[in-house]
Amino acid sequence: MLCVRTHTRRCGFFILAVSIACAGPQGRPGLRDQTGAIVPSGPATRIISLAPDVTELAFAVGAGARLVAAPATADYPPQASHLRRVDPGDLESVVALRPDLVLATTAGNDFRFVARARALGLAVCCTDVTSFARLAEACRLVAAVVGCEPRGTQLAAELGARVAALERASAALPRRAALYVAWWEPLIVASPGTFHDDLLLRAGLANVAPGSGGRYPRLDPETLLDSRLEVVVVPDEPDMRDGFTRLLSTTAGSRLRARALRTIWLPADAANRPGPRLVDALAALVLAREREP
Amino acid sequence: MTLLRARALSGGYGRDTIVHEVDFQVSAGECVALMGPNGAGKSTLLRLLAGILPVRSGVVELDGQPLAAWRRRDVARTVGFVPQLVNLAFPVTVHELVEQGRAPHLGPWRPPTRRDHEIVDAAIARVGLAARRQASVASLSGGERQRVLLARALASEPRLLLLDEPAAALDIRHQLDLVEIVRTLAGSGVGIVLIAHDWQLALRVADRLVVIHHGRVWAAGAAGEILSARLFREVFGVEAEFLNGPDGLPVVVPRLTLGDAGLDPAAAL
Amino acid sequence: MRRGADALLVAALVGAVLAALLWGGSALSGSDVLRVLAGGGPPEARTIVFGLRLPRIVLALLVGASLALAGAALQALLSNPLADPFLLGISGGGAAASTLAVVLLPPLAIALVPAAALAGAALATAMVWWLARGPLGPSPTRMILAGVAVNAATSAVILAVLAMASSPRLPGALAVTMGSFASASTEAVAWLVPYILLPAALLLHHGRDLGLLATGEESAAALGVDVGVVRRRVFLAAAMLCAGAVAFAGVIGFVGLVTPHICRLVFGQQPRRVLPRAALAGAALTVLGDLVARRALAPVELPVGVVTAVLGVPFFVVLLRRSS
Repeated sequence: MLCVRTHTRRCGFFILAVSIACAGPQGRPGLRDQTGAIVPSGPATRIISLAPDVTELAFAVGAGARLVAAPATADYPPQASHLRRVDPGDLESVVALRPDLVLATTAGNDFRFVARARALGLAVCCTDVTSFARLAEACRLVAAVVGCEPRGTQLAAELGARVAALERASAALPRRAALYVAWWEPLIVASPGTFHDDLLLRAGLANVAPGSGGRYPRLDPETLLDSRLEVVVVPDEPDMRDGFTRLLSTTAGSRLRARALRTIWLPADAANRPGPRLVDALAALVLAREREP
Repeated sequence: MTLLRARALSGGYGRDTIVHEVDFQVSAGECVALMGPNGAGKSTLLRLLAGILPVRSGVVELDGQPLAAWRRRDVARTVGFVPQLVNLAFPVTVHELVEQGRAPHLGPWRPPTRRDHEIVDAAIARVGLAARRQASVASLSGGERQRVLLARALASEPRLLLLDEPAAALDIRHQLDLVEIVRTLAGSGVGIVLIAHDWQLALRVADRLVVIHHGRVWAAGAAGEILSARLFREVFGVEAEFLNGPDGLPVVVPRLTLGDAGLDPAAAL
Repeated sequence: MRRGADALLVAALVGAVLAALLWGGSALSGSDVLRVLAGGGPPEARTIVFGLRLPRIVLALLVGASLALAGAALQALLSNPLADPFLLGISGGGAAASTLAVVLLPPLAIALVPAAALAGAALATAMVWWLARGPLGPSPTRMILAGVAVNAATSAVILAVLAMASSPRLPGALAVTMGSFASASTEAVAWLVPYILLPAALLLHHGRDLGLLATGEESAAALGVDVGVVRRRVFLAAAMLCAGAVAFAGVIGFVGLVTPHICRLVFGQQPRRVLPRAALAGAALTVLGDLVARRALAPVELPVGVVTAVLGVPFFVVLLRRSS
């Protein structure tokens, strides 16, 4: 835990320092974002982000000062809380703020909204983070569209180094069968090919979720009673805690109750946002596993 | 002058053939009554003649031309059909229903003219419903509804009028009214075919009678030619006698024979 | 009274459009919109008014008119006051295909969703027609029964799709089932306008025939109506209108059912009179419904179908009680 907090403070300081250094770049080339769509070239002086994870990315690559609005859920870094609030579903409000760049993500933004925004002529850059490798790409991508390429490469390298170190640390741990639980009732888990799956993988866990059924399939609650399942990794937020408590009193939660199925709680903001802090979630996971292999 | 002629006409609903090889004709100014037991095929025959039921075999000729060669609209302007019932899923007033009779004379986009309104009002007055002009048809009695349906057919100014049991629900006063309307129309050259069950009514109103039995013409001709005890015995299974009425028309008196039907009159008491 | 009612209807329509234009969103005030309409205003305000609000209003007008017209025509055709574009399973087919497309298609192929909806609606229409055919052609009763069957099947498909949809796609799929005008665009409107012209004109053309059919098939035939042809045309035209509505706005209930009834209570029973007025009333009701759906609990958008029900049903009840 101490390790994570120091890291966060260090990152925060770095972010602050660099955002002064990388102020007011002008053009960007036309690029393809992570969904394959073209982000037209142009300035990036008024940026609107539509999700907390791309907000954190924008700040991390030094474009935080140029953000004009963010959704109400964007609360990190602390400067983001002072940004004007915009509803990610209200296209009129977004247009009214005259952005020259809109940052979106597949993890939380409705793709139809993105299509409509593009149809109206807005430049939208959409990230699609499905692994740590893609996260690094996203850092470089967002940095490139805001005109801070060097910072993006640097951030990607840092994140990559930390991930590699954590992976080495987890190599010594026993490989256990695990699930990432996004919701208890109905039981929704992360399937292979999502960033949650990569989280498990790098921490030395084997994701036993099925490959079919989309990125976050609904499973039979009986899955929790399967004796082959050893660990569930869960984001620590009040709704999940409530659901967990309710589940403990049912049959499906009997293995959880008996501690035969181990529950690892991760900081929710880090684990559920495919942004720079995802590495912090990985660190927390590895730490928890080291304490109790 | 023959208005409508049918030769070897066969037809029915679905797979059943109800009418078999019927020859029929009606002239301008003539009134023909279709008689026969229930289920004999009178309604089916009427609909075949009106052109609203497709013909299986044989031909129906209107003014010498087969119906198939006529344009639908022209047939509608020439032939008027009065069904027994009207579908009242949606409320409709007397005036609106009778106004439908003008449809064959109006295009899809042309609203009714003054003349159309006059014809409609005249038809409503003819059947004695002028006072109920704005009433909802659903609020009328069965007999009043039949009169509205007759008015609708009258409003289309047909040269041939086909009526399906027009007197079924009428009281005696309105039955006589119907006879008067029909005779007047016949007098002005309109051909009329109607289905009736009441022999006295039929004898009063019709020039010729056609008896249908099992989908075939059993007898056709004037009352004097076809009325016989044998007719009633074979077609209706009823013993009948005939008297001479005060107006010169025969009166049919069926004999009540419970014993023949297998019922013991003594046991019924 | 009739002439006054016509004027009131047009006034309601114009009022609804103005209200939606001026107060349809939170980003612009009424005076900003007026400035844009007068020719001035900043570019983003012009984008909002002409690129977002106006297409949305026009889409709501077209969809509302289509649904009400289709509902009025089907009620006359089937001699059933409860007939509704949804009763016959047409919109169920469109919605099932729509939800499948939203859930399965890759994000960049989103433009294909309306095409999928039309294909689904066409398939459902064909199924209903085929199931309902009898020796004398499809009768109203058989059509309703066939429609109920097809509706049940498509509802099952929709529920299955919703149950298995992954969470990013779920809001889109739900929007189809609950109705939404959020995907309005000038392209959608440009597509829809020519599409609905033919079926709408066809229905208005057969207005008198529908009045005749409503009182009985046989008498209608005797009065010159080609029953088989009119039935087929009216059914197909209503299906086309309904399919277009579902393709661009999802499932919006009550407009097709209640609007014709309200119009009949005010303007009389004759389809010739009711059909065009039902189209106008449906358009007004839907625009108003979309406005309320957007603003009542802003920023949360309610489903339009809920709002049209809440607006339409009490009005209908009041009129019904006054007329009895």
